[in-house]
Amino acid sequence: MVVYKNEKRAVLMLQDGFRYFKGIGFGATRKISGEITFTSIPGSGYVEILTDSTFKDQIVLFTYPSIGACGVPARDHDEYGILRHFESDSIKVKGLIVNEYCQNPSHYESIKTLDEWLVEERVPGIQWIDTREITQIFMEKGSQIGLLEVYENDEKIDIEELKIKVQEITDPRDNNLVKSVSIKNMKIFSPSNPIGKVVIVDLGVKNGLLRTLLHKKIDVVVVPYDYSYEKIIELNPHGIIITNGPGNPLIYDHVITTVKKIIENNIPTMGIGLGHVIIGLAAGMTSYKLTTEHRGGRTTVESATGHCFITFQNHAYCLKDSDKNGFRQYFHDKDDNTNEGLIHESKPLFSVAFNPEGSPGPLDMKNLIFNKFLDIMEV
Amino acid sequence: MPLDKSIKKALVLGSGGIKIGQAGEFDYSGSQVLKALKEENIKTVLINPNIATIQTDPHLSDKVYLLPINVKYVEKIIKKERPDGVLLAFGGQTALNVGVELKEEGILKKYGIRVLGTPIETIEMTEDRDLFVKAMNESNAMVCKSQAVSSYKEAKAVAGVFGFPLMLRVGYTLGGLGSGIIHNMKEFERMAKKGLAQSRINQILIEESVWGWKEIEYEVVRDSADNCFINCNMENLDPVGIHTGDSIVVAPSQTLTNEEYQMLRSASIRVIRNLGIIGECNIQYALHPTSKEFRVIEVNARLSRSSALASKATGYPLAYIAAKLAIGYTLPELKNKITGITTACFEPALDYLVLKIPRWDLTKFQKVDRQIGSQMKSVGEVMAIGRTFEEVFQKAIRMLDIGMKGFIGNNLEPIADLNELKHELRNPTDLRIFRVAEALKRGLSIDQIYELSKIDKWFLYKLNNIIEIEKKLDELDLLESSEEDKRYWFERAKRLGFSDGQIAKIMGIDSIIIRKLRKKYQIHPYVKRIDTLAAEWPANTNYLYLTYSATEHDIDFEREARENVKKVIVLGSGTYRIGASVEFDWSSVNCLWGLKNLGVDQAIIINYNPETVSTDYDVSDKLYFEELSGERVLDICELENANGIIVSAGGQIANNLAAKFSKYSDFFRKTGLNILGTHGTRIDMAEDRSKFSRLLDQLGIKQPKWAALVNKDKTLEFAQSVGYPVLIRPSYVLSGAAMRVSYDEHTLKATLDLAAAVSNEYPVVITKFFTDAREIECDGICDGENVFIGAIVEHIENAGIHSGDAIMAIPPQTISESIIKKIEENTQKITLALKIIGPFNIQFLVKNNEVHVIECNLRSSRSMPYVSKTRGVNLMRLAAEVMMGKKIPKRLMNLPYGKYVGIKAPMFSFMRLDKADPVLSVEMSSTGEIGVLSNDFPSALIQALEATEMNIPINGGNVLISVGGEELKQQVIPLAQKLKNMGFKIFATEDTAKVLKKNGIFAVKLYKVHEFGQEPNIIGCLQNAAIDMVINIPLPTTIEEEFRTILEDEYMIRRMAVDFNLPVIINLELARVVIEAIEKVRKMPLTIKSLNEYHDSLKEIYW
Repeated sequence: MVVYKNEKRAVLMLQDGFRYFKGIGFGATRKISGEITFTSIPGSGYVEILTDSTFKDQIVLFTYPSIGACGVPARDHDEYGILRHFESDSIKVKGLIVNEYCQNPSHYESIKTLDEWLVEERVPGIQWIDTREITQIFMEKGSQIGLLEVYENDEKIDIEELKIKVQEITDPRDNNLVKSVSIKNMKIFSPSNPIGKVVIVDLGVKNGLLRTLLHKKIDVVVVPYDYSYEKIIELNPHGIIITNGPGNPLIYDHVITTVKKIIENNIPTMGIGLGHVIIGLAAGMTSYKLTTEHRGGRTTVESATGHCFITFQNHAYCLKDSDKNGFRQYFHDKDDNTNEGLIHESKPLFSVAFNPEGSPGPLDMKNLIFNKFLDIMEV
Repeated sequence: MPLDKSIKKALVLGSGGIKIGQAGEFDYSGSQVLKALKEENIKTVLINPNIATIQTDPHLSDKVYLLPINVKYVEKIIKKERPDGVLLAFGGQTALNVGVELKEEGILKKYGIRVLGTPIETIEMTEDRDLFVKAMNESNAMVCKSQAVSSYKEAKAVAGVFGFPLMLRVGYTLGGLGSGIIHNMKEFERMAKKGLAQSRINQILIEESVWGWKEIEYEVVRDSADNCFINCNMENLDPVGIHTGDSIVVAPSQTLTNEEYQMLRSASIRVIRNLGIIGECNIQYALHPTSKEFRVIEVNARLSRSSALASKATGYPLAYIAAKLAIGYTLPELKNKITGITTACFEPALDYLVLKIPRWDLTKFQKVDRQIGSQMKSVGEVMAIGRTFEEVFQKAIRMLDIGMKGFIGNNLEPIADLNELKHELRNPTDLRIFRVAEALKRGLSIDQIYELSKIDKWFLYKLNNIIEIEKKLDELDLLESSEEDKRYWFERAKRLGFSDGQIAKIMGIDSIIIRKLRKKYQIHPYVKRIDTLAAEWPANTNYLYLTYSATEHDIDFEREARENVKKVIVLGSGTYRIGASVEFDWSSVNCLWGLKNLGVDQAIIINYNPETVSTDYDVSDKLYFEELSGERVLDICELENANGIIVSAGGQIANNLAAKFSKYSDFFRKTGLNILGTHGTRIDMAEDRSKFSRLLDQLGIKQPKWAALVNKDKTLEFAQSVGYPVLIRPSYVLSGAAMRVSYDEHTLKATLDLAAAVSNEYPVVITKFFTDAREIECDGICDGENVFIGAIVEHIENAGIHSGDAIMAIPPQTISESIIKKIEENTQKITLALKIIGPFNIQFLVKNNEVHVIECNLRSSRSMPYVSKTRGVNLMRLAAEVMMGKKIPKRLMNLPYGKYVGIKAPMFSFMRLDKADPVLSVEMSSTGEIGVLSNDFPSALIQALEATEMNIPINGGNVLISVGGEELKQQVIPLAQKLKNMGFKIFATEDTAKVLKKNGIFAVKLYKVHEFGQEPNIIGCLQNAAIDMVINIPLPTTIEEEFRTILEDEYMIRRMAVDFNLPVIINLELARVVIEAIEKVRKMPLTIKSLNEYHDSLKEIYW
């Protein structure tokens, strides 16, 4: 049990059985609620995780016990105007659960502490709670609904009041989260001497993807998630990427329709994360939510040829019956055997559930996947 | 690719005796490889003379040869066994070097043997600098600018181009031997010349210095189908410049951003693929602290100390998996042994931190420099697991067992002078981290400390958190402070790894009070599991640790209590140090196995040494990777509610805890836990030298005259009455810490002061010291009524050399039957009087046909595995049985000895300790041991010495003799005569040469070191490899100031012999038996027999 002196009191309460955990608050002093999930990325990848749009509106627990050691870097931009160190322009995570956050970071690129950043972006965090105990709940029952409250210094915790409030939370999982993270207006990034052009349908694109494509000398056009097929084609791309993003793939009918047309017209396309599941849905497959979500930097996928790769993953939804309508399984998770990728037998289409661009996480698949994409675009 | 079925029999090369740079970690890797092969029905042949290891137990491999690991022996064994393949990656640098030599000499080809796992070409690539640089360039991973040279002239030219500081490395060595940062030309000349002489391939390397950069390590695994993953990344708290073996290391890395982490990760994968490693390798990087610049420092294409650490840090059995990959499997075909369901091809996710601190024993050596740098000097290490950096850091410091309570709260004398303190921060010693504490307390800024020490500020901030808590605890007052304040600060302190004792010390009260208050405030540690997957998958692993950053146990203790699970806790041996090494891990593991055999549901071990087999994933039912302290063991006992606890397997640390429990007796009683085996008061009776002496008097057993040390005057009086020399023996110490022989009043006074400093808790005893006495030991097991004498063991050297440094023989070689009988009788009397239930070790002196007892230990001893293996009776299995209430089987009584001789010999690491004087005394200085069996004594002796890397010139050569004092000179005459008769050419120093000449033995006179310039000089002869063996016997007594040059000269001879890797004999009895052995062994063929074959000749094997 935590004892308080000058620390901000904080509580995490789950809807399920009113289980609650007292800890010490940091970041913004406020109350939030939502879906609670986790990531097993090591202590080094928190800046990327916090700004990953896939986590939009989720309260994220870090299984690694110490977060924030490298502080927070400056908002530097690269030659294309893309943020060097962040995956999007703001923190997307709604709340943060850690065993311990680091008050005194040390890194030459750091300009502020994690705490300061969270305060700026009005994101609350809770520390000194048993993150392993909570992870075991996820393992058994899947992601949770709950609330996180960080109190003012002299405020006392009223558990009974919280119990009432936690019951009132509506399940946010079927909200249209993509809408809030997708780009509002089309944006173009042009490297010198481009070898091709790609339209990115932004369901929650990570800057890492943009950096990777630009590095490969690809012209990148990012369009809003609800951009129509016709408008995409007008841009004359060599290929299309349907990106990763937050939420339940089933609710994004508009994107599914777009993808259906893409498949029909044999446009070279790659899907990542949420984009992968949407391609599957467009091909007539069904999706479901995993109990043990794939969230972290250590997940092993196996290709059809029996080769294994370590990948960064951040997805809760998965495809069933992948061998359908000309598609077959491209990769599967080595441990739980779930689908991790699709490839079409004859059309220039494939998709992966993991993030080949890392950001954060391993880059083992980066060349393989993006070169494959260049191949199908024939650039 | 599945298992390669063409491999029917595989040869595994071990690593030999433990020395600095190559310790118990190779017992872990060797044992795992044997298990992994056995599962596949591949016959295994192991060569390793390290008799104290678990891997050399007769049932782990099909055949084990306790013989030297060099080409001569390995070829003979290959010829006899005809294996299909050989594994080189599991026996450290020793195995790797021998593997390369086997290939070079065409032996592998001749016998059609495949190298399994990483190909030999890859090994060569990582060992030869030019090939290595080329391979790294191809992997797009920069190495430091460097150049290999083979002569001093070349070296000098390169140094001129690179400028200072620069780094000097020696090819084909371990532990960074001979390496160092060089600041000027004078240093350069000395080190370069020495390095060239030491290198097996006569090559040294000069390179750009990356001193002060961050040092990061990656453990990488790859299979033959090119699947690879990173098992673990680690960060050294100490910057580049301090050998990673001497660095504090944390896993995973703490101060790297994702970009940096992935940059090095991707480089690691490129490197392992490019090298074509099949199995595991360790890659060390230097990372610039303020840019993305990095350099590859080195690649170890084998299991290493770092991989052992990574394996324990992640729970991933690296050696086991590497062995499977070597015999054909690919990673996707293998399962994660921890979860049993997930794949072995994965990257462990940690939800805890791990920290390693090296253990040094530098004060045990004479003349050695305490500064640490690029040459490894530590002899062991500890690993702590927890959920805050401060917690693991303070736990680890306590685990070192050097009397420190944590980062702060210690009795270390601070450095008063600020400049001196700054100097120490810049030029670290083994005490560096405590100097950082002093600097923080004195208010040096974090920036200043960073500039001096190059320890990343993140670590310094964390350490400062500990200092802040100390301040608050210091302000607390037991009576005045509010309950709320106490509770608050105790909770903070516990989260940051403070022990009860540490808090108590800071507050100036007793630790029992802290424990009581803590319980009242509900501040408890919780048990967490290491499952490799951060709880993402269900895994019922046995691997546990305790932390204060938690609110729930991973173990359902209530269910276990309901189901009446039968549990026994075994206390392990802790860190390896001089005096307690792998032999006590052998005892712990065999005790665990013995318990399992008896049907105990849960055999539980507590240990914190990552270099051990006892901390392997499949050895115990529960492994608490935890402190062996009264507080922590009690915490575990309270939770486990076990049926019993065994303190006699793990050596002195474990044994001493029995006494600690009495301090916590109230708490301990409440756990309802029994100490299994000999009763605590009996242990005390044997350990407390005064009580023990009284017992011997009662039993009518002779002992050297003794007296309890009351005060200085009384002691000096006693010494006067019995006559010098006398021995001062503190109680409760192992390896003779502060034990000293005094030859006169002057040295006795100095010794008394030292003894008081080391152990003030327990009484100290002074005894008459016998010169020219034989020393005998007896290891055995007693069940309270019957005694099983494992063996009577005789030391080759006369008494006066610590038993850990002595060479010994089973059966005894010089003492009579009647004396042996007398020793056995005394053993019976003592063990029964002490009602021993479990293992014991008694040491005797024999002089003028009289037997005297010197000490008795009621625990496993250093010689237990040696005795067990030589006799074919597993004493620790027997110990487990009697401690669980069984009686010793009748058929084991009066078993005859085998018709062979077993020799145990010490392994020294003087070569790795710059300037250390290789002299022996009652204080132990060997780092390991080997044991060899052979048909006869001379063969066993010569082979044993060869196994310790002392290559005795059997077929003749040049011997340098230099003996101190008239008496010794007279004694050496017949030995010189014998050498002469055998055709050796004798060289001697002036006085010795004169005496020899007078007695008709011509010796070439060599000028002494201080007579530099006069030829022939000793220096030149040693440097030019003109000498094959050195016999240098110094005077044992104290020498006056006027003899200083002589002493210095003698030291130089010994030291240079060590530096040039020559056999140096410093004991007269040893010289005598070695010379006799040379004479006999010359005429005999070499016997190549496995331990199993010797055992087959026995009437009874009990294993």
